[in-house]
Amino acid sequence: MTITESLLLLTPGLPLLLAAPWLRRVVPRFEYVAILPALLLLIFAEQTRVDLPWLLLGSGIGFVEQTPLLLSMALLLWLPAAFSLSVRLQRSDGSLSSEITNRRYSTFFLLTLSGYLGTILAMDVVGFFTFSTLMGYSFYGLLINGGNSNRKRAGRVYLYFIIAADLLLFEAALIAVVATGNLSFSAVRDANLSINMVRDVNLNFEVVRAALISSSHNVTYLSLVIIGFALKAGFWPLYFWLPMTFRAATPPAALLIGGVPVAIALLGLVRWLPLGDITLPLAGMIIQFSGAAAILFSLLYALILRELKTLPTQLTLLTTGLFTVALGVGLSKPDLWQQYGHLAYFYIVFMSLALALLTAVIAWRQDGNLSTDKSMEPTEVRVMWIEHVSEMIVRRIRAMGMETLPRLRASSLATAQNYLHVPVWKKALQNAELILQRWSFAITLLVLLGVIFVLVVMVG
Amino acid sequence: MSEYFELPLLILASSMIPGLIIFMLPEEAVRTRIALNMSGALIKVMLVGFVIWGVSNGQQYETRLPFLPGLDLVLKADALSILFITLSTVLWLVTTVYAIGYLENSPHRSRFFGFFSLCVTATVGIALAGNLITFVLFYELLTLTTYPLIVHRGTEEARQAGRTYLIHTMFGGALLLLGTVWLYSLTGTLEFTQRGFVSGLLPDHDNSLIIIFVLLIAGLGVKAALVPLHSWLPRAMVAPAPVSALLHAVAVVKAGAFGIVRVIYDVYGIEVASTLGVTLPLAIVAAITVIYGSVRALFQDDLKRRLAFSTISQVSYITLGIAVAGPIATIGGLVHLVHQGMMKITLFFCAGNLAETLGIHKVSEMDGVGRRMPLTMAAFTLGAFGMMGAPPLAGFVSKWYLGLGALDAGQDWVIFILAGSSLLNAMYFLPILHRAWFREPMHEWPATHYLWRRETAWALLLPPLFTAFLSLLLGLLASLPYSPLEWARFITSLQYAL
Amino acid sequence: MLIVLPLIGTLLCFLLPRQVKALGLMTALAIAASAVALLWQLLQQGAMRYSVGGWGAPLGIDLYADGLSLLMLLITATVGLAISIYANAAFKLDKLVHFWPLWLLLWTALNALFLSADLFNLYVSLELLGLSAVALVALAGGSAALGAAMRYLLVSLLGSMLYLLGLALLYHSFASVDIAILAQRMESTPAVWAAMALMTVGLLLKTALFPLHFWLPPAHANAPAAVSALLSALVVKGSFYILLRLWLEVFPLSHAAPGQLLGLLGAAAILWGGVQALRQTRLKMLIAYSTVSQLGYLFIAFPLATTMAWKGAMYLLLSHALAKSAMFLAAGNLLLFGGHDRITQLDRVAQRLPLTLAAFALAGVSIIGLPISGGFIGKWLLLTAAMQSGEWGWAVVMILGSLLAAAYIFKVIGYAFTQAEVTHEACEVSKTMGATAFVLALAAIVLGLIAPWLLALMDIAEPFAMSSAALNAGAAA
Repeated sequence: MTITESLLLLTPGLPLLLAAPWLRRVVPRFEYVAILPALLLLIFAEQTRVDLPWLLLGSGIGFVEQTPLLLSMALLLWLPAAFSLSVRLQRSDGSLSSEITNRRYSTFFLLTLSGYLGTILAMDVVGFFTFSTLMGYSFYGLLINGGNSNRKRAGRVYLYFIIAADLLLFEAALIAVVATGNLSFSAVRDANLSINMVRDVNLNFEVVRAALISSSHNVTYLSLVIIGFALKAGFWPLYFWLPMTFRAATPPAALLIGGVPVAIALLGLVRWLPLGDITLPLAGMIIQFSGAAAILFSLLYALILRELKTLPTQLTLLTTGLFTVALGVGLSKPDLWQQYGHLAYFYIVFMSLALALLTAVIAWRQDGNLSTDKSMEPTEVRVMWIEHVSEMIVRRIRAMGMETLPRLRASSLATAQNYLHVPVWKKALQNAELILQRWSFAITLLVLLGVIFVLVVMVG
Repeated sequence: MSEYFELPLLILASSMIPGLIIFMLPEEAVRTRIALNMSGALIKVMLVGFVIWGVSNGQQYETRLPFLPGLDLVLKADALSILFITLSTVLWLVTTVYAIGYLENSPHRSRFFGFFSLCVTATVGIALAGNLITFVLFYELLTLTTYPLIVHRGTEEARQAGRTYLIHTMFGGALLLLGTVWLYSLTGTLEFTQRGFVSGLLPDHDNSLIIIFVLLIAGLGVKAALVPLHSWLPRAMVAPAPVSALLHAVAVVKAGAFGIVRVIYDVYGIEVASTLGVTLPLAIVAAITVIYGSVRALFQDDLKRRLAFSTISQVSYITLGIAVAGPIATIGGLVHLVHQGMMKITLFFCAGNLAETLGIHKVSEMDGVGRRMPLTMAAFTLGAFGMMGAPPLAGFVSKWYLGLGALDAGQDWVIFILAGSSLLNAMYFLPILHRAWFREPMHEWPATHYLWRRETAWALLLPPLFTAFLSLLLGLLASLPYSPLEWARFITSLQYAL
Repeated sequence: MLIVLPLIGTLLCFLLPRQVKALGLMTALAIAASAVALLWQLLQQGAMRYSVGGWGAPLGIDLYADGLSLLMLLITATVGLAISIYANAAFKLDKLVHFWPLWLLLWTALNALFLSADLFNLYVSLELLGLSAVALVALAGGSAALGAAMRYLLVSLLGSMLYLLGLALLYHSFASVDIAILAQRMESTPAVWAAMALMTVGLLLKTALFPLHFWLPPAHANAPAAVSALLSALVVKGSFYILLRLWLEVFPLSHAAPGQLLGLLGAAAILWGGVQALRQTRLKMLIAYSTVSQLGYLFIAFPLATTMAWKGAMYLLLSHALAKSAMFLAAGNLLLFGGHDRITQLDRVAQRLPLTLAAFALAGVSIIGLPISGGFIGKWLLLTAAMQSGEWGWAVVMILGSLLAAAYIFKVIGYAFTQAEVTHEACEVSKTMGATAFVLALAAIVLGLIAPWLLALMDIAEPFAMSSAALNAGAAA
């Protein structure tokens, strides 16, 4: 195994290992050590890929053309975050509860880091999906850990979004398999073929993108992927979690909002979509419009609110809006994307860095302190429709699951029990048995007559 | 016919004999009992390992004992039984360790461990059964041996639960028996055959075959907790935690699901079943079960009850995968047999730890419990994410194959069922995790009294960690040879071989 | 030999009341040994016919042994031996003095019954059987037992009378009572059918088939445990055996209706007995009604009348004999230990007697017909026979009966697991008593494992061949 390969494995692997508290304890300055492999990789690596056919459904990570750019973004983003974390850890007041909170914080920090680096290096759909799931849930932990109700609410809304997004992306990945493998939709099936096909399925991004160009499912795939990542990135109009999290997050996490969930979602779009090869004018148009609307909205928003705290949200909406427009253009005019598509990576990098910078500045302007929780006093926030909807869904399901069926069953059971327990039955059984005993000889005769009748009349 | 005539018998005996001896031990003979249990479990693991090695090298293991004229008791280790037998053997070992820790100093341990071993014997028998009559035999034996385990606590509630369990399973057993007899009177054989043995009856006896199918599936569905027949399962959670764990992960529920697999594949054969048009209704019933179980789980405050409803939902994945009747979905269903077992047993172990160490039985009491028992809750977290189908855990692999299989078989609606179920899973597991990790504890937890500030006894802590780790590995290393996924693939390719 | 031995034992016990224990046990052992010897002989030579005093068929007393009678003898020997041991442990000497002679007399009657080759001998042994059984029921003392015994006596006499009436008609018609000769001379006249009806009803009465079971529950529930076991396991089977012989050999029917009638009554018995057992609050009554229900199964074979069905019924008979005697003995232990047999208060008793409880549970398994047990084999054969004849109605009834049986058995067992304080120091139950019950129950389970061998034994001299052939001929005609 070459140095590059081992570094490739270590880059997401080391943070993952260090996430275990007892391992972390023996490593000094773990928050920097965890980033170290990424730095080394950036310095030493040549272009290579590691295929891990035994991993999951056969995954691979690699160091390709755009990786250095993305890795440097990662370093620029995470080094300050790590610094912020170490400040936070040093300022710990030594009480048990803050120690626990900090320990957790470090764990989630490292898990998020691992997921983040993994998504950058992932070379296939499943790997990307896996790491982004890891990143999503651990970022949730990072967001709400030790926080107040405001922050928890923000975390909850964020969670709704990533759950929904993961569901959509899962379906998209399935479609990708169908597209690459020519899994026949219930045509004449060759079972062995499809079994082997599923095993040897290759979901590397190039393969998927190439396969989708000609696949008949590309529209479904496209909409699933775009909506899925739009949820994750907080595109307008699906941005509800953004302002809440920006308002609620504490510094290390706050630094990462723009760079981690949003940027990775954009990266996902670029990686997953066969941009530049596929021509879908109508879809492109719709997407362009929604991007333009997002830009408009964010500008209006900025004009009306004029509040420092909403600035990151507005900026995020603006940049993602711009990105969406570019995406739409790419879909309707693939040649344009082919020409300028590589700029998308730069765009992502600059966006995430700019957002991080902005957040840092704002946090600094606010209280000159990178590691307090003070500014996050619970404030009354208007309850958003998304929360209403989800609450309503939950209530409906409760009514359905909790009441209807069990009640129906309970009532029918009760009726049945009533019938069973009615004394009439008991009495009937009792009496019948008594009658049998009292009239025993009469019954004997009756049976005798019956038998004789059957034998003599029917047989004889 | 085969070189290793005795081996399947030995596998049975390795749990049956300790069980029988344990019955005779006095209550105080703790060490002897532990030694017996553990040695039985270890021997079984070794034997099964040997069988796996043999079967993958084309060896045949078959025991045939005369039972009735024209019908033998057949124990046979084929690929499908290996899958189930390995699961039950490994989990038996783990659960035995756990049970020893869990039941320390509680009364009636001889009785408990005796029936516990017999229960595993029955499960293994079900796995090894080479014809329907042998299957029925061990199936009923399983009913009998689990009953004492369910009522073990001896409370009025336990007795009621046992009653519900018996009413359901006896009824199911009767249906199964009726179906079996009927089938026998039609075919004159009950031998499990690759791709089924009823195809000869096809044109003339369509209706009979459909009715028999319904009888068999209804009989098995009781144990597999298919929806109208499921209500015994949530009640049976009054049993001690190791029992619930085993019940939900391996023994009873899985026996039902495994039986459904057998009926569809080795009795009817997938082609005949499809021709008869019975698979789609079954898939629909399974789908309803998947959703219904999750919906009910959503609002259970009792942790074990919530897990029980979750089992109802998850086990039907297996049935669903089989009933979708495509090769890939089949792989998904089969592999879920193992994966669900691994994940669910983790969850139940953890629930048992909470109950035993801190006296927590309800979700609403779990606030901040992650601080007091971080390892247990970490295992729980892995299990829960696995249930939701988050990559790279075992549940993801199953869901992946189920989804692909549904697409492959042209049954796209299954995708929505899967998505809905994942969503519901997230809805009832994530709040638990949120409470455990991020809420402030309501009161101080009792301090630990174990060495090195461990959160609970070794015997209680190691099993869930082990199974959680396994369920991670099952997902991560799914593509390695001998992994359950590869094995399921192998079975499926046999079934669909051209 | 099999008849003479117990008879001698009876006399000896009668004469030497002090040594009854040892004497009785020795006799029992000797009988069992000779039954095994007979098994050996039969395996070597096939069916046997033996003329007492060398007089031969029409005049003298003939003994005949085929697979059917052999199995009955064997089961009698097994259960009898176990009960003998149990009784020695359970009864005090003053009771034993009465028990042993009566019991050995009953054993004589049973053995004679299973070996007789003519209808008159059957009558004599039937009468003997009834009388000694009645006396045994009365052994418990107390007004309930005496009342039950009285009723039993009347029923027994009535049944014998009907049988005798029928026998007289037959003798009048054919001038012989030998089964083989009758079978040859049989013809279809109203007198014959009347005789058959009389005999059948008489035997049904003694076998306690629904609705003629009214005497059975009180008699079986009020007798001492060992006696109840005998009555349920063996005595009712005696009359069933005669009925079986008559239907199989003397009156081979070519018409289905009478069989259907018996089958219907049997089905009714299964359900009625099951339901009644379920409502009982006392353990022994429950077991007694369970006997009513289980006897019904035996009659399901009559409408089916295939070899497989007969074998199934026989198998059920054997396993029921073992299981039911185990059950009664277990119930006796519980009763003795706790001083009562109210089911809801059994918990504190059951916890103290694990072996007895295990016996009860295992016997229950066989009664329900769960695998692995003799009951399962029997039910499987009957079910298969029913399904093969396409008469699934009977199969459904049998399954329902099993469910009812499961319900009433587990109603009892469920209480064994509840935690309960031991409130009073109960009296001692010797280990032998628990062990005997357990061994019997275990035997019922083992029956499930040796089915091929036992079924082969039944085939000695093919006792079931005629009926099936006749029915087939009837169907063809």
